[in-house]
Amino acid sequence: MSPKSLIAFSFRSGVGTLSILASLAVLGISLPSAPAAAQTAAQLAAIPSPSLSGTTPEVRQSLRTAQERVESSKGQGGMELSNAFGELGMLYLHFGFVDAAAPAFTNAARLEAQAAADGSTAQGPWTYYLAVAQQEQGNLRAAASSLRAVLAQREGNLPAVLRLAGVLAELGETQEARFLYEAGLQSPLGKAAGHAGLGQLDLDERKPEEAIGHFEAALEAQPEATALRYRLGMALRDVGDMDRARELLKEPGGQEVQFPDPLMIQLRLQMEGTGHQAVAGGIAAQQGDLAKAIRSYRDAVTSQPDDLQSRRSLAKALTQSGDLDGAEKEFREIIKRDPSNASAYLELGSLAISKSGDPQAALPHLQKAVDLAPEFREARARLARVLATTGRLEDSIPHLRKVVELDPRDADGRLRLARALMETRRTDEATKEVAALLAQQPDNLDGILLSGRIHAVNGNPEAAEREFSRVKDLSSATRDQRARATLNMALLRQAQGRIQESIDFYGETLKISPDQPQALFNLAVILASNQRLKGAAELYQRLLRLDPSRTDVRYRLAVTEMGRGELKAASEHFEILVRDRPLAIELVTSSSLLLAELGRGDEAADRLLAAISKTRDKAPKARLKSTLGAVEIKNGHLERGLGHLRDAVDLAPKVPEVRKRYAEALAGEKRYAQAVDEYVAYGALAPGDDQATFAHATCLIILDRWQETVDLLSDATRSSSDLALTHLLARLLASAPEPAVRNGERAAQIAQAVFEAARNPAHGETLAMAMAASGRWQEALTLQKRLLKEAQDASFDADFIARVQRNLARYEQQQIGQSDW
Amino acid sequence: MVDLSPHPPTTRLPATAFTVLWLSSTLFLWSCSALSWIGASTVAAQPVDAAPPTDLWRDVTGTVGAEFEHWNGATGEWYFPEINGAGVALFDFDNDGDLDIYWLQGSRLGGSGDEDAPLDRLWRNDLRAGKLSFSDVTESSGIRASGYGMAVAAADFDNDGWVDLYVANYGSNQLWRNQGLSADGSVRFEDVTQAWRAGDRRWTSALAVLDFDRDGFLDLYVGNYLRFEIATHKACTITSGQRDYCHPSNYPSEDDLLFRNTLGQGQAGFVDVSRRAFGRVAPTPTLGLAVLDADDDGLLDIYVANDDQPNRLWRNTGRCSPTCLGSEQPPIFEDDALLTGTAVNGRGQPEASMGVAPGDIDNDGDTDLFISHLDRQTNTLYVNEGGAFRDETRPRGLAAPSLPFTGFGTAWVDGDLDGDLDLVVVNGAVQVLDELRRRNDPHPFHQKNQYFENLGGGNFQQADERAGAAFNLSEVSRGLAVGDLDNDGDPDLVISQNNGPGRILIHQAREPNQKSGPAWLGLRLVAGDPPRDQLGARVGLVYHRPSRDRSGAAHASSWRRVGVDGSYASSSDPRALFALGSAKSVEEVRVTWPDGRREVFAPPKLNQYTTLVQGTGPKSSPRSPKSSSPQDQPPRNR
Repeated sequence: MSPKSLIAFSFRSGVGTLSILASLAVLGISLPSAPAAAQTAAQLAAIPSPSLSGTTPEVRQSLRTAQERVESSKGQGGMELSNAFGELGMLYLHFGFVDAAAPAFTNAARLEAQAAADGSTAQGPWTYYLAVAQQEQGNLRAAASSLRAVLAQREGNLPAVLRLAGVLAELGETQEARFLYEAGLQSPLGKAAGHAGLGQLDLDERKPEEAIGHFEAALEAQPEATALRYRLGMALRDVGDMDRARELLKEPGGQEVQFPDPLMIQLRLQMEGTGHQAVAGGIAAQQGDLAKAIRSYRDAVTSQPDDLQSRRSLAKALTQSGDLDGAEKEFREIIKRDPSNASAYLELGSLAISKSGDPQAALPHLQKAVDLAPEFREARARLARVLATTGRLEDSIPHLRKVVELDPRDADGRLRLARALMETRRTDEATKEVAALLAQQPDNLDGILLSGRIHAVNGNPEAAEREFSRVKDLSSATRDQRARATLNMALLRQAQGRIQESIDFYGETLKISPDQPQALFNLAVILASNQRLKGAAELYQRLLRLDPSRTDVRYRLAVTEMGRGELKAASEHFEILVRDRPLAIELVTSSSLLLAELGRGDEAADRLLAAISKTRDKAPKARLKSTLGAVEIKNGHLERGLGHLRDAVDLAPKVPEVRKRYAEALAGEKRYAQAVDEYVAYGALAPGDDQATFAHATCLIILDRWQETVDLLSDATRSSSDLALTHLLARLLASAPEPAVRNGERAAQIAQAVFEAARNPAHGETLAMAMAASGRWQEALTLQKRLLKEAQDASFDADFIARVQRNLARYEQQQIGQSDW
Repeated sequence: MVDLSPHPPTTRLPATAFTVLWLSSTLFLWSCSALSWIGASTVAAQPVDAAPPTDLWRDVTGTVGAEFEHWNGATGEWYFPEINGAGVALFDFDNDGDLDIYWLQGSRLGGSGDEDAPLDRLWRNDLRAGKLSFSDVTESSGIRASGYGMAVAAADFDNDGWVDLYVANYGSNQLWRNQGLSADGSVRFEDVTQAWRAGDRRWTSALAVLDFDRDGFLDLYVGNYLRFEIATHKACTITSGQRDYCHPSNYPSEDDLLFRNTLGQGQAGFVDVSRRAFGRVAPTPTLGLAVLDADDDGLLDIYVANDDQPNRLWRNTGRCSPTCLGSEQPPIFEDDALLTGTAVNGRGQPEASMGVAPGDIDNDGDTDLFISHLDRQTNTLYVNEGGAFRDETRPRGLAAPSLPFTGFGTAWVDGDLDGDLDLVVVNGAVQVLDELRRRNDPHPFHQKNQYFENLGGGNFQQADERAGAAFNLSEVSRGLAVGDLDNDGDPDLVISQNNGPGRILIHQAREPNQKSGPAWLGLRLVAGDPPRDQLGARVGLVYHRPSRDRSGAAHASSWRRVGVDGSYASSSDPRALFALGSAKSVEEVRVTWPDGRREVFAPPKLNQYTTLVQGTGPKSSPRSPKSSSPQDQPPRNR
C-alpha cells in the first residue's frame, strides 16, 4: 500500500493539511499524542541567561520587557505564561541566542499542552519554533521529535511535514523522509520542496534517473530555485549526459527551494515590526545562513532594482554580516530612488556609528530622518539616544517628549525621558514622568527602580527604599523580582559608598535567592576589599560549588585565602589552577611561591626549574628565574637566589616585575646602593608604583642621600595621592638631618594636608615637626603636648613616647624636631 | 558589577620597609597580570594523564617535553587573523629516523614589534628504545620565526636530503633551508626566502607541496586567504549587536600562488607560474589544500578548499602550450570541481571549508576527500568513483554529528588498526559560542574533537569514547598533524590550538604494556641520491584476509598516499603506515610514483619500517600514465 493511498488530503487556509497519522503508523513512525510535554503539571525548563554584554540597548530592552512579561505572567500560568515564554523565545531565536530560545519554547510548548489538557483550544506555534531552535543547535533528533509533536497536534501541517522530512534525511532516516516528501507533494505549495527532497534522496541512493525526474519537476514548480540546477546537473552527470550536466553546472545558482513557512515569516515580520536595529536578512538569515540570504536578496534587487523592500533587506543583511560599506551603498541607493525615505536615513545613522564608532557621525542622518518625517517615532527615539550618548541630554529631551507624545503608551520612551530629566537635574519633571509611567504600568520594574534612584539623588533614601520595597511587596512580584529589587538597592548603596548597608542588602538578596551569583560575587568582592576575608572566602566557595569551572572565582578565592594567611588552602586552589594550565607562567610562579612559604621550597624550586627548562621565550623565562631566585633565598640559598634574580634581569631587562623583585631582594640583603640602581631602572619601566617608590626612598634615606629622596618623593607625589609617600615627604622636609633639604613652610603645608586626611599620632607628630621647622614654636608645642598626653593615656609604644618627649624638649628650646632615621 | 581586586595588605614603615614580603609584592603584581592570564585561558580543559588503558590515544604532552602554548595576541579588537591560527609540522629535520615537531606561534597584531614576543618552536625528538622525549632546539637550529604563524610545510626543496621548512604567516612567509649537520653536531637552517624568491607577504593559510612538472624538484602551492589589514579592519557584530569575528565576506579574497621550483634547472629558486598554470581566475579565500590524483591519470592534481565559496579541483592536464613537461612552461590545470562534484556539497551549497583529508576510505584504490566545515553545516565526504565524486556524507554517517562543531584539522588514520581508515576531526569555533559567553568564558570558542570509526566499506560511527579522554577536552583546536612519533607502527596525533596548549596524543596499541596489536607495515618511499621522500606517491598492499563468512580467504588491498599536505595548516609524516587488521601476511606492495611510473615490490618484513627506493622493485612500468596496463592499475574492490 503506497503512502499516497493512505492520505486523505485536504487543503485549507493556504497551507496544505493532510491526514497522515494512519500512514505514519503503517510505517512505524510513532507520534506523541501531544507536544513533547503532555504532562499534567508542566515542569519548566531553566532558561540560561545569555550574556548581553555588547548588545544594543534595543536588544536588551526588548529582552528585558519579554523577560518581565514572563515573570509577571507566572502568577497567571496557562496560555498567558505560555505565550510570554514563546515570545521571549522568538526574541532569543531572532537574536541568535538559540541555547536560550530552545528552553523558552520548551516551556511555552509544555504550558500550552497543559492548557490544552485543561480545555484551552489555542494551538500556538511554540513546538514548531522549538524544532527550529533545535535544528539551529544541530540537535536533529530533538528537532525531529518536536516536529512529530507538531504533527500530532496539527495534523498534516505542511511546513512541519517538509521540515521533518529534511531533518530525517539529514539523520539518514530516508524511508520516513521519503514518505513525508511524498506527502508534501499532495499540496501544490509543497510540490517543489517535495520533489527536490525526493530527488535528493534518489541521488543519494544512486537512482539518478528518478532524481532527474524529481529535480525537473521541482524546477518546473519553482523555476527560481536555482540551487536545483546543481543537483540536476549531478544527476545528469551520473547518467552520462555530460553536455547537459556541463550546461547546468556553468551557472548553478544559489537560490534554495522555498516552501510556505508562515511561522518563520511571522517571526521575521514580528521582529522587523519592532524596529530593532538589527533586523534579520530573511529566513535564510534566521536559519544562520547569512551569506545565502545576501545572495538571495542580491538576486532580487538585480532583477527588480526598484524593489526597495528587498534592497532594504539586503542592506540589513550586509550590515549584519559586517559589510558596512556594502550596506551603506544600498541605503544610499534607496535614498537615490526615494529621497524622502526617512527609514534609510535612520539606517545610515546607525551605520555611521558602527563604521566610525562615533555617535556624532549619526547626527546629520538622524536629523534628516526626523526632518523628513517629524512623526517617525523610531527616528526620534534614536536621535534622542544619540544626543544623550554624546552628552547632549538637554537636546534629547524635546525629542523624547515627542516620542512619548506620539505614543503615550511607550514605556521605554517615557523611561528614557525620565532618565534624561533626572540626569539634567530636572528631578521634578522626572518624577512626574516616572509617576505617569507607573500609573500606566504599576509593576514596571525599571520605572520603580528609576523612581528609587530619583529619590536617592534627591537625598531621600527612605523614599528610595520605599520604592524598592514596593517591588518586594507587589503581589505579583516573583522571588526573582524581589531578589532583583534588593540587589539593585545593594548596588545603589554600594555606588553611594554606603558599604555596610550595601552588604546588608546583598545579604538580604541572598536570603531571597541564596544562589544569586551577582550578589554572591559582589558581596565577596566587597568583603575582600574590606579585609573581611573569611566571609569573602565562604562566598567564593559557594560560587565555586555552584559552578566549579569558574576560574575567575577560584583565582579570587586563592588570593583571598592567601590574604587571610590560609596559605595551605590558597595553595590547594592554585594547584588546581596550575594543573589545568601547567605552562601559565603566573600560576607556576605564584603556586611555587606559596609552596615555598609553606615550607615546601625544594618542591617549588623543582617546579620552577622544570618550567624554566621548557620555556624558551625570554620574558616568561626571566619571570620564572626571578621567582626561583626568590624561592632560593627563602630556602636559605642567598647567593644562589641573588644569582637567579640577576640572571633574570640580564635575560629580560625590560620586564618590570623582574627588576622590582631583584631590587627588593637587594634591599632585603642591605645592598642598598645596588637596590637603588634597580629601583631607578624599575621606575623607568613602571612609573607610578607607590609601593616601590616608598621602598626606593627608604633605601636612599638609609644611604643618607637626602636630596635625592626629596626629589624622588616630590616627583612621585605630583601624580600620586598616596598618603604614605606624602607623609614621608613632609617628614623629610621637616626633619631631614641635612639642613639644605629642610623646608619648614612646605613641610607644614603638606603635613597639614596629610593630618587632615588621616588624623593619627604619626601624622600629628610630623605636623608638629613641620610647625617647629617653620618657626611656629608655640603651635608645635601645643600639638606635641596633646600628642604626648594622648599617647600616654593610650599606652602607646614606649619608643614613640620617648621620641615625642625628646622633641617636646627641643621645641621648648626652639630647636627643630628629630626623627629616628 | 563592582570589580575590586583584593590583594593582601602590606606593611610599610620607613625603618622596616624591607619587612615587606617578596611574597606579597609578587602577588600584588600577579593580581594584575593574572587577570590577563584568565582572559587568555580556556577553562574546560581537564588533565588527562590518567587515561584508561583502553583509550586509543593518550595525552602525553606534559611528560615528554615539547610543551607549547599558542598565543593569538588578541587585543580585544577582534582582528580576524587572531582566530584562525595556527598549524604544526611533523618532520625528521635531523635525519635520525624519528619525527620532530615544529609549533607555529602567534604574535600581537597592530602593535610595534616586541623583541620578547614568543617565537615558533622546533623540538627535536630524542627517541631512545621506544621512550619518547623532546628537546627544544630552536635557538641552535638558527630558526627565528617571529611572524604571525599560520601554516607550515616540510619538504626537501633542494634535493640535498635534508628536509626544509616553509613557514606561512599573516605577513611575510619564510623558507628555511636545512643546511644539514654542522661541525658542532647541530642541524642548522638558513632563511633563503629572498635568495630562492619564495616570499609572499599576504595572509597565507595553507600550503601544498608536489612535483607537478615531474622534474624531480618539489614545487609549492601557496593558499592565500583574505586581504585583511589592521588599518581597514572592520568591527563586526552579530544580530544582537555584540562584537564578534567577521564573516570572510567582509574582506576581499587573495590570489593563490603556484611556485615552480627551478633549482633543478640551475636557477635561483621559485617562479610564480600561477597565471600560466591556472589562467585568469577570481581569487578565493583558501583555507585548505590537498594533493591527489583525482582521476587516476598519474598526474598530481590540487584540491583547494575555500571559505564559504565553491572549492576548486585543479586537474593537472599534463598539457601546456606550446611545450610542456621538462620545459619552462608549467602544465595547464583546469578546474574540474563542479563537474566532478567536489565544488559544493550534494545540495549545491558552497560551504565554509577549512581542513581537507584525502584518503582511500573504502580501499578501492582511489583518493576520497573529506572537508571540515563551520558549525550548522555538515562536514562533507566526497567519495571518489572513478574520478567523479559523490557527496556521501549522510549515508556514511558523518552528517548529523558534525552539525554542532566547527571543524579544522582533519585526517584519516587507522585508529583501531583494522586495516581501514578512520577519521579524526579537531574542532574549535570561529565565532563566539553563546553558551560559553554566558559562562564568562575568556576564550569562548572551544569545542570537543571527534573520532569516527570506519565500520567497514567507508561507513562511519562516532567513537569519541574509544578514542580516549583526550577527546573529552574542549579546546580551540586548529592544526592536526599525524605521524608515528615513537616508530611503533601506530598513528600518533599532534594537535595545535588557538591560544592554548599544543597536544601530543600517543596511540596506545603498541605501548609496552599492550604488545598485542595486529601486524603492521611502515613504508618510506624515496628516490634519488641522496634519497628524498616521494610526495604524491601512492602505495598499496595486496594481501590475503580471512573472509568474514569463513568461506575462505579473499584478496584485499589497502592504499595510502604519501604526502605532507592536507588537514589544516599542518604538515604530517610522509611515511605510509598500514595496519593489517586480520590479515597475517602481504602478497605484494604496489607503488605509483609521482612521475607516473608504477612498480611492484616483494612484501617487506612486517612490524617495522622499510624504505622502498624507486627503481629497485622487481616489476616496474614505463612512465606514461596513459599507457599503463590493467594489471598495473590499483585493484578496485567495488
